[in-house]
Amino acid sequence: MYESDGLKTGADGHLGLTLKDDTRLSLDPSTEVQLRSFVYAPAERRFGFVLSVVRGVVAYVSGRIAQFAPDSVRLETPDGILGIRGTRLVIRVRP
Amino acid sequence: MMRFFVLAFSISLATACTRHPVVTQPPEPGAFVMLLPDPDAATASQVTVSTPAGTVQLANEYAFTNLTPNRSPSPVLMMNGADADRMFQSVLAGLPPKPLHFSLYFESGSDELTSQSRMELADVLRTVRDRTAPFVMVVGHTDTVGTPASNYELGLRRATIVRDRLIGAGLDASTIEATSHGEGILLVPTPDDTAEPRNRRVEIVVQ
Repeated sequence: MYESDGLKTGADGHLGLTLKDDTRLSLDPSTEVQLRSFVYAPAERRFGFVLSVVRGVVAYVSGRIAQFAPDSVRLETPDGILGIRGTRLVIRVRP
Repeated sequence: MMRFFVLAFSISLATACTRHPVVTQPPEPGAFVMLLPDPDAATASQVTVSTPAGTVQLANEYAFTNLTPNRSPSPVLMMNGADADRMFQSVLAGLPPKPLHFSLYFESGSDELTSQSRMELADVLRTVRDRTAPFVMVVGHTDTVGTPASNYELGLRRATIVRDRLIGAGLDASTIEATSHGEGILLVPTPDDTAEPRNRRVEIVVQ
């Protein structure tokens, strides 16, 4: 998965994925997310993670970006944004 | 004609079967955010939930808030843990297994593993074999003896040795990545031209 990629699951689809920094995501059926920013360059001390949940149910477990640079991690919903200091949460969005 | 009828019938039946009564979900549009326990977390979890109209903090396991358009987040509420686990059972079950990290160490100036790390390589291989869809990242590092350019090469040789061992053990080459940071990320900070066994390593992440 790369920066600015979108992911959608169908009515009977599930998706689990692990990003390079060990961030883990799980998407229930009928869920849509967009990875707005993903920067994991520990050698240059550059980090960023912005995930937008458009609809559906998402579980998130933070990775090394949240560990090294918690202020750079943000989850967005259409109705509000989340700043994360770890580590495990679930978001449901009904558009 | 008959075939069309059967198909239409089975679709309406399937639709009827998926209509479960839903008790806990709010009917109106909006978002719901809940903090969950994390047995692996070293530090306390906290989530700040903000809308243009206000902010709340979730700082306890199973604390949640509801977001509705153009309103402040609802005051923090608590859900019974068993209810929450049941409610989000499928999405939580869909999380991939926790990534595991390993460090293997090398003899000075060489791509030869120390005798202890040769044994630990077996743990890495076992972890990889236990996963249904493994992805492995191997990053080679060196101490500060030598030039940055030669240490980049040495780090890459170290990573490649480990990569080749994993492929030899049956891991698909397309699911393993070997790179080098040379002397760029020291585990133990040292001046230049300093032999330091703990910096002569590969770091392995098994996802």
